[in-house]
Amino acid sequence: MGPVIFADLRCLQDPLYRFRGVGHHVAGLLRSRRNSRCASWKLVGLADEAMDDLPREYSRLVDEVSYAWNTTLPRDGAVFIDGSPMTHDPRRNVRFSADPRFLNVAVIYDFIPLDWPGYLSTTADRIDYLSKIVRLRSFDVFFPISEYSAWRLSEVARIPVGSSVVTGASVRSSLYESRKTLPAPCPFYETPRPYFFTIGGGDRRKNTEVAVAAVRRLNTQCKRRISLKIVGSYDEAYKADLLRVAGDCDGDGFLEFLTGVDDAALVELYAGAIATICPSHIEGFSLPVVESAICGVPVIASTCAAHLELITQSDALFPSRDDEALTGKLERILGDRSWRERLVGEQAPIASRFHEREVGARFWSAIADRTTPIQLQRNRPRKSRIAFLTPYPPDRSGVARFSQLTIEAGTSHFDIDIYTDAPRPLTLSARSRDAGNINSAALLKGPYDSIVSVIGNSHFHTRIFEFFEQYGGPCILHDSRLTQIYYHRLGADRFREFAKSILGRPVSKEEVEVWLRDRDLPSLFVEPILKRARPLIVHTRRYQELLWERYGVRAEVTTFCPNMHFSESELDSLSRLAAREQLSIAPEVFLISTFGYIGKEKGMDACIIALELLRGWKVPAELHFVGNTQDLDAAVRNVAEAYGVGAYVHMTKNFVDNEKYRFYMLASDAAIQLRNYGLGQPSAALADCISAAMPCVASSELAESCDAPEYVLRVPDRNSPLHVAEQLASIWENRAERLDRRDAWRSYLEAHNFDRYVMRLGEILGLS
Amino acid sequence: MSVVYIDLTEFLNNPVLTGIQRVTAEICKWWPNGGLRPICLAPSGELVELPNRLIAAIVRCFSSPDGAAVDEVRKLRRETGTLIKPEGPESILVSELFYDPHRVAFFRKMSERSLERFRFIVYDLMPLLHPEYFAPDMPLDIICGYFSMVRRIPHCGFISGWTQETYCKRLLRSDHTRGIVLRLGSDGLGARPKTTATIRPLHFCSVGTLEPRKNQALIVDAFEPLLRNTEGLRLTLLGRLGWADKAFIDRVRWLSEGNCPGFEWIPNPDDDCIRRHVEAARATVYVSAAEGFGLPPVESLWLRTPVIASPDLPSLELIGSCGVEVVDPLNASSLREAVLKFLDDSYASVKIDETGELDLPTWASFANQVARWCK
Repeated sequence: MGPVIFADLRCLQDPLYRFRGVGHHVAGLLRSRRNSRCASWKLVGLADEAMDDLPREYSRLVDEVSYAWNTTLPRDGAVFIDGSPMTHDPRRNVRFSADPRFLNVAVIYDFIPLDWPGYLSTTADRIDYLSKIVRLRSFDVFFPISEYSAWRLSEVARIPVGSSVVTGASVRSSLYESRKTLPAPCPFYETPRPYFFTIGGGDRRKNTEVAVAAVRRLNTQCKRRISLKIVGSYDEAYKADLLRVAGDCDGDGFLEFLTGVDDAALVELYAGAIATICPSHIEGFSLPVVESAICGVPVIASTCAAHLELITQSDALFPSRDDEALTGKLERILGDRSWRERLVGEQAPIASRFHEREVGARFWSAIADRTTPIQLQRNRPRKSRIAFLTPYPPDRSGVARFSQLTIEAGTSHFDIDIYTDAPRPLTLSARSRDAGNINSAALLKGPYDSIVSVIGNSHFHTRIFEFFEQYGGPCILHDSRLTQIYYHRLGADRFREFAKSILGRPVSKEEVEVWLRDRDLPSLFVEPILKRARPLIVHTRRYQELLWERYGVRAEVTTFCPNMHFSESELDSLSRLAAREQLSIAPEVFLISTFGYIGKEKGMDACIIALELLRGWKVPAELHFVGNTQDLDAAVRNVAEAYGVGAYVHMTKNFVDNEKYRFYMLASDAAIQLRNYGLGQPSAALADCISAAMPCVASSELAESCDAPEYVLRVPDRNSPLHVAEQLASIWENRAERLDRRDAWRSYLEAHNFDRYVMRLGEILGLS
Repeated sequence: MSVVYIDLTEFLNNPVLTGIQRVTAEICKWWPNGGLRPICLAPSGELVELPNRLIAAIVRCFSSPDGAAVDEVRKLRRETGTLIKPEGPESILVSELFYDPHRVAFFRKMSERSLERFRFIVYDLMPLLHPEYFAPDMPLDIICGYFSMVRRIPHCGFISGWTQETYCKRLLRSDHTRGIVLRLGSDGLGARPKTTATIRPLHFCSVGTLEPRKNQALIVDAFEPLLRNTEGLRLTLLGRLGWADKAFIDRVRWLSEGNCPGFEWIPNPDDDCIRRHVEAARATVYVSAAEGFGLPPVESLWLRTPVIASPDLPSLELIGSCGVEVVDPLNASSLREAVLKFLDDSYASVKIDETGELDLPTWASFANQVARWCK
């Protein structure tokens, strides 16, 4: 299979870079991969969702575009390429730069901001730039575009020379193709308006003024009107300066400014010129030198270091500040055709050296040489190491408990570090470690084979959301919709804006109120998660199908498990009686429990009315709500009293501790677990009831999502108290010992346990 | 002349002229030999008798569409009534479906002995059996109060055998059948035609509020390709908008704006309009997914028009296939096949003739049956 290549593509998103030198160079490198030794390796392009979309012609250069900057370490090794390490926020890359098992590769252009005044005008700019230089030391191999840049790299960042491979800058093949198709230009001495050509731009180091001054002097001396065609974007002030240097008004003199020039037009401009003038004070590399050579036109260049690497003809060089010297060269080339031809001939070999294919071959070959299995597997521990960012007990949430059980089972297979904001001390098993609070330190510590974010629909996950939105990566998504947590995090107004951005239409407060009750959801509000999760791990096949149907996203499934486990001896009738004694439940009562927080969406009313029906049928039923009442105590009482069953309805009111929860699991004759929204969401409470071999009545979709065995009787999702009561009556009339369901119970637990969950998790993460 | 009280509390509080309120009005209209006295539950929690002219006013609510009768009913409601004794010899007929928690509580608190004088007409258990056909946020705690209470009523009359069966077997969970089945009248749209044309144009119609339970979407799915390809074929939907899917409503509107030949929707038809369309139709279509009774099919048969119907409609439980074409399985394809049968003149004639053989109950016979039951 080969290593996986991760490439930071932000320079191809950024409008400042994507269609300029940096962007063309990186695109050329990516394009040439398919003809290199790395052709079979998977290339994942990492993009920033907050930036402009990646242009289509660039997204095609990679096998996959991802927003997950927190990646699991691939089994066969990984390479990280930063195509522009000095431009964008380096914190995004910390997963790679902090882990020595990634081969970190940097493309180096220049250190002009350090070497030329005017770029780092504030202290903050200087600190930022210097910190990026320091960060360069975390890379393993460098690809400067010139010897000059390589030398500066070793000087400023103390990078050993052996860590650099000079590639040159990549010239796109489309330019070569355009040259081939261009008809042979008319010799300049036969054209009515011969011209010199230069490429500049708004950056003053490009030194266009010296070219202007030189051509002006030439025209004066020779009494001619040779034009100077200038390609580049100049603001009005700079343009006015250049016109002053030329002694002309715009449109009247010898200057001609051109912008928005495509490859065909550019080649034509080069090819028709007397010579190309490259006057820059400083460059990392000079693309115009190469482009001019491609078009068969001689270059007269300044003596900056980057030019000296390319132009070996000393008589074609001039000091960048000496316009008089340049004038001399221009006059000579105008009159001395043989000299001109000699320059053309001697400069011609430059063209082929920097074809993107050649540059790319140097680049990928060097990477392939450095990615032997031994090199990539260095420092890799035999046992995989995982970080979990998760709620954890003593946090009072089902997800906290589930994560605890996952980690306990996982320590047999992995070394696990826990990042959580739960109050300390944590209850830890051997071989798991409290690694601190949730923050991006997980990316720096380690090194981890995988950093997993556990996401759910409650405030316990707020900091995990903040991490995940920045870095993405492996994600276990516990809840099928995230309406409530986004509302909590964003507040009412910003949530409406968020919903509007997803739905593409205005959103009213009234709609939001309905959605917060899990009704009529136009979206599951999981879009930000889907975009960044790699892989996305969910707990039910139904939810996996739903994500595919609604979003075209493929999630992985590791099936949900009960949090509670019971031995066979605990499920006998003696245990039942003992548990009932603890709860003060009379033996003859048909005890029905419903577990979890109380809510209308969980059939609170249906449970009470079903009880009334049962009692009307002479079933000695009592109903216990086991879980947080969510301030609905009074509502429960009112309904119970209205239906004449107030004496038979009980609530535990607050979060129930494990012991009491367990007693109810053992003492109850039946459970009711209803939910008015489906969405493939599993139920921890139902899974626990199944684990206790307890007969249940559950909403159909809920039961299917939990892979419930036959002793979970289904009612339609739009539940009716009559449906619920009839199923409960059936349980009462056919009451049996729990162990009579042994086969179905065992079969369920064989497929739904934490060992299996963890094994599957390892497979999904590529760590098994 | 023995007196029977009729409890009109719901009608008086909300005279919105529903189908169930129509049943009450027909009872008032056809009650034999006088002796029906209007009462209601006062805010004080006591039953009071109101002026007898309320009976006629209620009848006029349905016969005079100008709203004057409804105003009169509201006015009479405000009159101070005469308390009636809690324990009296007169029967009290409750022909209403109500969800008002106070009224439910009134009956819930009543002793079994006191309940003996009451006669409840039970229409259906639809919210309990088919909650999917009601709004998702239907307040169960309010709606189910009536059904919970009605279990205690010793004397119930049911509008169909199906309602009786579901009440006894499911709500009471008993193998013992009790109560009586009261057959609603088929003649709500007027007198039975003495003769009828057996060859009719290719017109079909369907009467009923537009809502998912009534399956109008299925009807449109079945008919649309036929309408586009069959010269002279017409389908008219007669009924107001109920709780229907927006996409379906938009589709009906679009079709009825000339985008489908022969398709028409009349959202607020009066009885005359309905009668005209039913009489002229080759068949009516009634494919409701679930009903307590289903009046339109028997009203269609009364007017000598056969009906294409879903299986097991309670209103047709004693009729069988006479004048009826059952669609089973209930899907667009089977419905289309049934319609195609009726495009054959000879088949349609046979089914029209069959309707003449039926002995159908009338509102008068219904009221008489109720009166006998109450005595």
